[in-house]
Amino acid sequence: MDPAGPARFPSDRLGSGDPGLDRVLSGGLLRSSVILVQGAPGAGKTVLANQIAFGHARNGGKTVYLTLLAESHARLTAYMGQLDFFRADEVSRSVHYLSGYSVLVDEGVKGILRLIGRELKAHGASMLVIDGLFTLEETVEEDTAFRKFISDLGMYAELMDCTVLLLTNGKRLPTSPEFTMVDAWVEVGRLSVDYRTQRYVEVHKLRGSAFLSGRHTARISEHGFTVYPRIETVMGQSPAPACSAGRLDSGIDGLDDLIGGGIGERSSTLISGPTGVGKTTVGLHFLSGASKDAPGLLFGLHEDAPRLLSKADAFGIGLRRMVDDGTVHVAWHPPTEHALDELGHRLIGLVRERGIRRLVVDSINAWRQTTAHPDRFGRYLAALTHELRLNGCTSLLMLETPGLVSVNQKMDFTSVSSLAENLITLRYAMNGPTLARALAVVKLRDQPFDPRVHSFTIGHGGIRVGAVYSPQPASTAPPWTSEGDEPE
Amino acid sequence: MSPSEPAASRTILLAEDEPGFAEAMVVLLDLEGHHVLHAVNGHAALELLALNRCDLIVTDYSMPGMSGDQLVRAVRADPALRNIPIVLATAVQSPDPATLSAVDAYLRKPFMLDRLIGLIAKLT
Repeated sequence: MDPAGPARFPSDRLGSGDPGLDRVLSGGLLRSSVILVQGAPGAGKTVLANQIAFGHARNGGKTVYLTLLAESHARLTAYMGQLDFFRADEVSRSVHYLSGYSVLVDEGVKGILRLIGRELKAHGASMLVIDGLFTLEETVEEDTAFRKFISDLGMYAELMDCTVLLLTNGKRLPTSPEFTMVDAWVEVGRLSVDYRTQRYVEVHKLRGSAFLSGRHTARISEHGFTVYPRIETVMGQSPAPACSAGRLDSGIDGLDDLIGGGIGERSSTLISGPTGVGKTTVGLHFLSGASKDAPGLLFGLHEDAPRLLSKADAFGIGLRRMVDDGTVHVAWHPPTEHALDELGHRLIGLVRERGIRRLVVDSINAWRQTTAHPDRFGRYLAALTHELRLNGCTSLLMLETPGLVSVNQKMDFTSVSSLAENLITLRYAMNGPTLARALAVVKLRDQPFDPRVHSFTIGHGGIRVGAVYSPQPASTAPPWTSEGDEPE
Repeated sequence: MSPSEPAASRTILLAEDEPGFAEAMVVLLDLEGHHVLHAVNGHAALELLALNRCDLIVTDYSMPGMSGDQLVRAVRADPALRNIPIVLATAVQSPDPATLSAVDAYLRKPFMLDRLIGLIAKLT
């Protein structure tokens, strides 16, 4: 008797061509499974399916791409040709485009199944894409026949070790047979929020496997279909490493004496204060302590690199040379519209790729205003700061507060503790006729600190922390107030 | 699945109660150049064997009416049929040892068609 072969289960995976989507799927597409990709016209199903097919080709696999739409393949490939993943030389070599429309009309479902079997065998394909499943839905008269077709496809997937992608629009109910019969159901969609449209991917079903639930931001660009897993689902989950006793110098004359010798390694410090008080300059000082072994990153949404370097030059902070030689990197983003997850992954990506040890984020207010989902921001930022800590990064997060001279610096977060271990506030104070500056250490992780308010100045050489702040008597009643200032 | 070399055409009796699996096997084995006779259980299989010359039997284990192990015993007991190679194809994890010893090959479902095609070439 011939020895029995091992039972084969679809436990191994195929890459989707996008690391973000693979992560949402907990490792990629289930091999030899039937995967429904559902989405309205324009949602990106065809781009995603083609990206998967060409990715499969790069890994040595072959795909039969069967369209059930009365659409020209020339138009389809012309559009795909604009995308980075497309390889013209792979068309008809590893990715075979076929139309099943005529067979469906003339021979029905049985004819399509036979066509599939024949073409998979003829091309040695291990992936099948059926684009336009709704055309077949409209052709079969009963749900039972459609259900049987899906079931038969599953048989073909098993017998021929073939992964099947079914592309369909989003019109049918979740109780329809295609959703219950398939091994996986992935939705691609677009959400309108105010004036913006945001693409997303959501996995509703993945038989026999965990997956990251909920919606995940997606983008279609010249690179194809990119998924950014929701930050709160992929970061902030692992326990943080034990707190290091190490300190990083702030680069500010006089400040380290107040904070136990420097900023705690791997900690997050919130630097809060009104506009123009010196928060960015604090960040520039901190970055000036970067080195080749401990590079720095300014992740900004205010001033771009030229303006920041001009500021640093003006104060005599030697940052320009460090930017030129790559010790410090400036990643600027316009303070307009961004997808939270895309920015978050970009930040963590930069931190990991460059081994960033000193990070300045300027500012988290500007970051928050770019998102269509400000309600997520607190949880999102807590996950990010946790991830930064895991990656050995020490962070300064700039937070602009309303009001200029008020001691009541209203912070628009319900839980500052989840964002940062340390809190240093900067503010203005009237000192006679002068608008003076003062800073106070409010909180410091596991470390004694000088709790007194100290004055500071900004001039050549940057910030200098001075003596304990002692206002002149005339300063108790500011001659003017601004919105956000409350009576002291 | 890689494109296979053209194989000598064989007549295969498939005893299988699951219609989707049976239909897929009929189509795919036909594409390989083989002729498939389908029976939904052991009784129907024996009827087909009485009327047709078959080169190979592929049988499921659990079937209504007459099961796969009963079919195997009946085939091995019949002098006209006993030399036909039999492949047991089943999801059952522990088939009866006596049945296993009476068949020529055992494929645990789900299996790749290539394995069965190889067995057809080897056993016929």
